[in-house]
Amino acid sequence: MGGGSYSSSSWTAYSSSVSSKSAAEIFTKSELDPYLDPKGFAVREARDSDEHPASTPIIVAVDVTGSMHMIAEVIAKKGLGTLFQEILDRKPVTDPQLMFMANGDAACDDAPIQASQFESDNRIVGQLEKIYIEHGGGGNSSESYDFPWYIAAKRTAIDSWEKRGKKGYLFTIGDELAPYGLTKEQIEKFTGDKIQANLSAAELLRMAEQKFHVFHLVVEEGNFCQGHGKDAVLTDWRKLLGQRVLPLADHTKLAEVIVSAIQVIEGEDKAKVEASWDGSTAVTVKRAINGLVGKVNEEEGVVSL
Amino acid sequence: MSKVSVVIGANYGDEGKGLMTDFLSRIKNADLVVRFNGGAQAGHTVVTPEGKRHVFSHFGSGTLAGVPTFLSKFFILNPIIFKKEREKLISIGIAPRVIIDPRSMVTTPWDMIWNQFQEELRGEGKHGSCGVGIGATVDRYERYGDLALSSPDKVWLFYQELINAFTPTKAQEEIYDRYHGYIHDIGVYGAYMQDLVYMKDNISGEDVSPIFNYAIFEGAQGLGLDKHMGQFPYVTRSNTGLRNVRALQWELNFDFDEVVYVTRSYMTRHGAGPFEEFSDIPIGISDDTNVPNKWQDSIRFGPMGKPQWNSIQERIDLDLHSNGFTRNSFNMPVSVTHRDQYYNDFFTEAQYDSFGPTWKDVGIK
Repeated sequence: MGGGSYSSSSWTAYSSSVSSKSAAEIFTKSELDPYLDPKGFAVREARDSDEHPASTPIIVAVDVTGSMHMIAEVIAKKGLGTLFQEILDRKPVTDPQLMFMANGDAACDDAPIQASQFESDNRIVGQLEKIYIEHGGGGNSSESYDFPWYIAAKRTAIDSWEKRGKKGYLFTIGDELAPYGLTKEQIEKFTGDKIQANLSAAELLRMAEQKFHVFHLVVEEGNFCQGHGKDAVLTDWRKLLGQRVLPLADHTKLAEVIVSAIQVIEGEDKAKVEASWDGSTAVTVKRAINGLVGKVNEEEGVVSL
Repeated sequence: MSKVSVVIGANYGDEGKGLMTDFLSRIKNADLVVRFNGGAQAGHTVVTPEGKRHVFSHFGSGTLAGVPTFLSKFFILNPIIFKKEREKLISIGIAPRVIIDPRSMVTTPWDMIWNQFQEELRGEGKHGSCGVGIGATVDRYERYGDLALSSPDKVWLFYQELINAFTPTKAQEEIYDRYHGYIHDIGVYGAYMQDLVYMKDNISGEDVSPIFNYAIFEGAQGLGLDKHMGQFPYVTRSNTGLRNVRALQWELNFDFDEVVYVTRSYMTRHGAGPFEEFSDIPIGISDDTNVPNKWQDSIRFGPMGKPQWNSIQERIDLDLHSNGFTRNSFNMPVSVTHRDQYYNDFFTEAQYDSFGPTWKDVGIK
């Protein structure tokens, strides 16, 4: 015993020794995990099996750029966990197969796209730890929300669509404006895929919508929404995605909003879905799915209002 | 098969375990020093013949001899002290290598603050804790398992709630307000995050069993403070003897070469607890490592007479027997340090005698 003593008077000094970096910034993975790197896999598969005969893929992609601040952490590490658990418990679709992605900005980040495998149980939750929160993003007013669309379109193989003609679900989450598209150089740099031409956001969306119901959640608490006004952000997104833009007023209600949206698309009565939540959750859910149109023809793709 | 030497303090700490670990690291050509109990409350002094001196808390005392440290699962990690101490080592030109067991407990600043709060409330009735939060950490893990193992922000919240729920008496109000402030200070959280990352960046977590041929197991504290042998409540929450080493033997797979019980040529006690002191401290006895702090009173010195020597032998036998050993199980040299400071002729059994602060001052019989 002896030397390792620590006196209480030092706590004030200790407290002020913190640098300007936020706690979150320094306490996260500091590089892209190879497991999540699209250069490391050909396709992510959501297959039917004896155990899961009618698989339904659900992909959730979260914006991990700087404008999201702490919310990126909270959603990526905790919110998605709650969401996945909720989906596994409630089963709003048959045999859910869960996948997450994280997107940044292909124009300036080191790792603008990360993608897990599909998992049918809560192993998916353990993998959230692998997400690298780069806090990148740049002076432009959007992030690469279309990168998850590209991966969903080109790098997934899903039995629900291939065998049964049923689309999967793809949600992106973020606070900035709708994306601009990806250049062929960006796609090659971050996925290794060589393609012929640049792809606009609308083209990428169309590609993804062949296999997935595509939604975007606007995080109204995010910095960009706070600075530029959430209505401007919602309007911009609606030009591209129409009624499938879901305003998320409270990021802690992510799970409830996504589960509700899926229920509505699966044909549940919207009023009934809203009524199944109480208090502040009901308010957030109602705001989010207010414009959503229920059961749609699978062949029809997006309904723009 | 890999071999190990174990260094165990026979008394209340301050016996010279740092010196013996450094000495054995060198003469046994050790390639690993293993900490197997306690945590960063240790203060093991090593002085080299070239004049380098360091008091080891979070790092093994073989560090100056260039030997890497393995912090076993019984060691309680403390990111705050890790960083302070590592920076100190870097400043004297040493880049320590540390391997940890990922199962280890981790002390947060709030464990430390809580321990200090409790000690300060006790006032005159202090238990002699070092103020580095060992007690609170162990308590948290024992009682709250899952909570303890989850993220730092949960631990922080837990202590906020704990202190909010505490009702101070009129006399305790000043202390309470101060500690309430420390616990709620978000800067402490931020600084701790930095230290945690610093520690993560400067350790590795591989399996050590295949990589060592000869390890020194460096005990902290002493048998007199062991929770199974000492006088409650003046004890530590760790096993100071062979028990943890025995447990690690199952995982790491080694043979015992030597078990070295260390004592000074006189008695010392640090912190509270019963102790027979010298009426006059003989000239020559000194201690540069132990400076009084708010949590532990200064070190006390006492004579080594027949009763003390017999108590040491009893503690050693208890440690051996309770772990299934006898005095014939392995080579069991007794080591007596600080013989230059106090002359005593009991120590005919001693095989390692030290007459000065460095490993070169140790004589082998």
